[in-house]
Amino acid sequence: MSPLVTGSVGTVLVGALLGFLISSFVGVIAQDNGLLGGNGESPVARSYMMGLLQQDPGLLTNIRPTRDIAQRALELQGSAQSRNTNITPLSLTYLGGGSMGGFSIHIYAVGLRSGSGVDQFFPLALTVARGKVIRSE
Amino acid sequence: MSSAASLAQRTTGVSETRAVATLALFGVGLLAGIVVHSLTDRGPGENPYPSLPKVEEPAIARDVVTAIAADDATTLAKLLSQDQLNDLGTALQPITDVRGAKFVGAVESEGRFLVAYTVTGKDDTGNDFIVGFVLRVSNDQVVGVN
Repeated sequence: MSPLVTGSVGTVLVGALLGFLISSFVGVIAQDNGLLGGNGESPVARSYMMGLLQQDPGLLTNIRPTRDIAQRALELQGSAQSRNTNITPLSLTYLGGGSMGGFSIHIYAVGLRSGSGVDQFFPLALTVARGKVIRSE
Repeated sequence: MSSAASLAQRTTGVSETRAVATLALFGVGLLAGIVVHSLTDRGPGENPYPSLPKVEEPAIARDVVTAIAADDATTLAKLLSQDQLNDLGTALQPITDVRGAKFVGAVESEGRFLVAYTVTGKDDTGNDFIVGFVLRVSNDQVVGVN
């Protein structure tokens, strides 16, 4: 292959890589600030909430910081017990959030009905950093 | 014109053409990267559960957050109970020096309001932090802090 062709392909590839990275960076900022019509909700935060409401530890594993085997086993025990307590999600509302540096906050309002028929309505604030939910309260 | 000058002129012309072509190829690549990202980044998935409509910020919650943002402990002591102040302290950790508080949204269900805020500030060591907390409001009273 001639140097002209390899040089041209290389230039396009470098441009494409840079374009992808810039787009990702701008996308994260726009998403966190609710620009471009978005409401600022993070896909990671949404997946976390889905995992919680569907009582699916598999959904949560990849979006939590790495933990030791004992902690993971404890979590599986806890989720097995909570699956026995039947809950019905009634609503999931993204209230909003904000970001600073590498951290972003995402706040939800959750409505659910417990197995005994009692309706609960409570908030959950998630802190997301480097694609993981590092704090949930 | 001497042959040396003619050669120099031609070389400059080729260099300019090459520079423009390189920039154009780089621009095409940049555009392709942005298009690929926009096709692969789908954002949060569909919410399978109903969402409640947003409501306005209740006045009592606004008073509490104004006191927090103004670092006005006297007013805050009148607005919240001891337990609520303890819960607020926990929610604000590790921030010790509040620099700003922002209302992000509120919802209501059967007369119970959840009013969400983000707070920015600094911890003991001067590092910037952001945290979120929620005021529970019912009957124009703050009934809880999360």
